[in-house]
Order: sequence, then C-alpha cells, then structure tokens
Amino acid sequence: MKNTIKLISGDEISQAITSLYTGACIGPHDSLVTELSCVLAAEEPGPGREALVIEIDNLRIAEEMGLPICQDTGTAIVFIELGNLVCIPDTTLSEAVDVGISSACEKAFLRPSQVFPPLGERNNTMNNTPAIIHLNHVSGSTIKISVMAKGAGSENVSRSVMLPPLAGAQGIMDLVESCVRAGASKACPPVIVGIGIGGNLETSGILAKKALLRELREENSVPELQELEKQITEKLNLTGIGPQGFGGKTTVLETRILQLPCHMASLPVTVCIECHAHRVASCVL
Amino acid sequence: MRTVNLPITSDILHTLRAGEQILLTGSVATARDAAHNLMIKHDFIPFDIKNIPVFYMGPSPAPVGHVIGSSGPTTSARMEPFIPELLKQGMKVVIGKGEMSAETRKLFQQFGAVYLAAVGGAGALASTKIRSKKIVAWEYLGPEAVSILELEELPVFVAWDLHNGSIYTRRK
Repeated sequence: MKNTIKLISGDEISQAITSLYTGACIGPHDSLVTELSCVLAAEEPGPGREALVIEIDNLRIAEEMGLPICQDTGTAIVFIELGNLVCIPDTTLSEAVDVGISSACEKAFLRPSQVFPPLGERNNTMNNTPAIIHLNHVSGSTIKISVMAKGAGSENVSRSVMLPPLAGAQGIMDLVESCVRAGASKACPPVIVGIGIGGNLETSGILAKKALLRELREENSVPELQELEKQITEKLNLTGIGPQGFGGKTTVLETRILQLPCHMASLPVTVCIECHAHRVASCVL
Repeated sequence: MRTVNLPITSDILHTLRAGEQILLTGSVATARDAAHNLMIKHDFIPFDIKNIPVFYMGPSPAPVGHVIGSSGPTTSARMEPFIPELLKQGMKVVIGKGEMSAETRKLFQQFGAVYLAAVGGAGALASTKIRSKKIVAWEYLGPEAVSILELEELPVFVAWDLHNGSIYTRRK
C-alpha cells in the first residue's frame, strides 16, 4: 500500500490541546477517585485520613462545578508522538500548542502561572504559555497528544542527580527516599513518584515525566523495574508521612520507572514527584 | 468539628491543638511570593496583619457567576524568608500547606503564632467556602495580588499550635 501523507491543520491540534488541558485540570477524574477511595479504606483514623476525604470530595466538586481541581493549573507539558506521514501545512507544532493552551486558559478560567523573565520582573505571561513540548517522531499517520498539568509544589521537590554508575537499585531507593522525606509534605501527598533512569542529564528528566503518563494501576512491562517500583512504594509508605504530611499509611500512591541506555561512566537519575491531583489527558488525531 | 471565627481571640488560639480539623469563618488576606517580596521591600502591609490571617494562596480566575476560582493553599516553606519580619509586625495566624523548618517553628513559638494547614490540591472545595473577594493591593500581579477573602467554614488543620505541638511529627 502506498504511504499517503495525512494533512492535519493547526486548528485541529489547537482544539485538541484546549480540550485535553481543560479536561485534565477540571475532570472527570474517575480512576483517581477510585484509587484514592481505595487507599482511604485502608487509612488509619486521624488528620491524614480526614485530609484524604477532603481530597476525594474535591475531585467530585471540581467536576460538578466545572472548576479546576487545584488553583495551580500548572505548567502545561505536552507530549507529542508525531507520525512520519503527518503534515501540518499551516503552522508549527509549538504555535498550535500554545494557541490551544492559551485558549483553554481563557475559556476554562485556568490560572496563568508562567512568568518571564525568570530573574527580576517575573511578569506573568497571562495565558500560561509557553507550554513545554516533548516531541517524538514515530511511524504512522496519526498524532498522539498527552497533556499534563504539573503544579509547582510537587515540581519544586523533584530532583535530578548524577549517581555513581554502579549505585544500583539501592542508590535509586536511597535517592527517592531522601527526596520524599525532605519534600513530600510540601507536594500534596499521597504522591506519585516518576523515576527516569539512564539517558543523560536532560533525558532522565523527560523520562521521569513520561513515566507519570502511565495509567493508574498499569504495571511496568519490565519485571525488574516492576519489582523495584513495588519496593519503593512499600518502603516509602512505612515513613508515616501520610496524606498532606498529616500522618498515615499512604504517602505514595504509585511509583513508575522508565529507563534508557546511558554512558558507562554515568547513572543519571531524575525523581519527579507528582501531587495527588494528578492531571493528565490524551487523545489521538 | 468546631467553627472558629476570625479574628481568633487569644483564648481560642490557646485551645487549638495540632492535628485538629477546624472550620474557619471570617476575613483572611491572600499573599504569596511576589506580594511578600513587595510587602517587605516597601515596608507596607496592605491589611491589618495583627487580626487578619495570611493565606498563602493565588486563586485561579473566577468563572462567570463565581466569587473566585479554585483556591487551595500554596507551599508555605517558600514564604519562610519573610516570616520573621511579619511575626515582628504582629502576624498571629498563617494558613498554607506543607511542613516548614524547625527554625521557623521556634519563631512561631516565640511569637505565639499558629500555623494552619489547608488541604493542598483541594482548591475547588475551598472555592465553595469563600463568600467574597476584594483586591486590596498590587492588582497587576494577577493571581499574586493581595485580596481580602470572607471565608465561611473553610476546613483547615492545626499544623503548629501554641503548645509546641505539630501535625508533622507522626512520621517514622
């Protein structure tokens, strides 16, 4: 069969981005409600449990009222898998994405949180652009788009480190534990821990973010990583930090790891902490 | 669960215990990073800090027909550099989220101030507990402007009380 080029307009991409970003921020978030309700059932009485009840109620209220779950509607992070047969004749991807983000911000009353320049004036760009785009060129005639609204409270306690090359699973475990102990109460727990192992300084970070795209309860396809994820989650849930840091059994909802090859002299690792208000939406054009 | 009216009297302040959930009713003032920077830089606090709690919060825009958008707390630790000066000026109650340093906790004890933690990420629920919003300074800061909010039964947790109690001590 002849490979025919598929034309997709900038407008189609912008509209998809607007709808994904709005949906991610407001809801519905049924699987998250299910997941949080599940840990609530196991949580001990006390302020941590009471906070968890409020977190769950909030997800329902946000959906009913059409309000963002959290006022920090984040930095918009857009992951794009662009098919090699797709042509966008009328604009650039970054332009189409920013039009979509800016439109969502205006129409759905999302908070503009981007400031520029980062030093000095720090003026708000007032439409939450620019978005951050991670582009992957793949085979096919479709575009897969995932939008993540990532709040700063959790981003601020995330960390990228170049570990000694032979630090192994223990090195990863120690790094994640220090990260969560130092920062979890500031990151609106129970948190999701995304870990990127390998690549280099910048790709380990992207990998950790990408790990957060995995569906709730979906297992890692690499058995060793699946086991390490389980160990990390179990260990961190023994810390007692609990929902909002108020004490309890649930500090970490899930751990998710992705890996890439790396230089023989390096072991780059990024631990990306995600708050309980996990906001991701995807579609295929 | 008891409702606590603002401003909190000294008697009531002493009865608060770390870990307790309370419902706050009355006036609070929003301020976060940019507003704190300006308050200290210009030595000007655009509200009565002795009686009005500081709420570390920058809301999302209000949709048509709403008083305010999503209104959850932001991370308190970022405001720590400004806290000593504001405590000196009489700040008694802070509303935010997340643990702050041991040094700041000592200062809260020293100045007889209480730290209340709202539920981070629960901004839509908080929005339903706000009856009015009035911008009082630095409107150009957008979400970081200082506003006076009238709360009606906003659920918060006593994080640090006046008796050296902390909600953040249950970890192992």
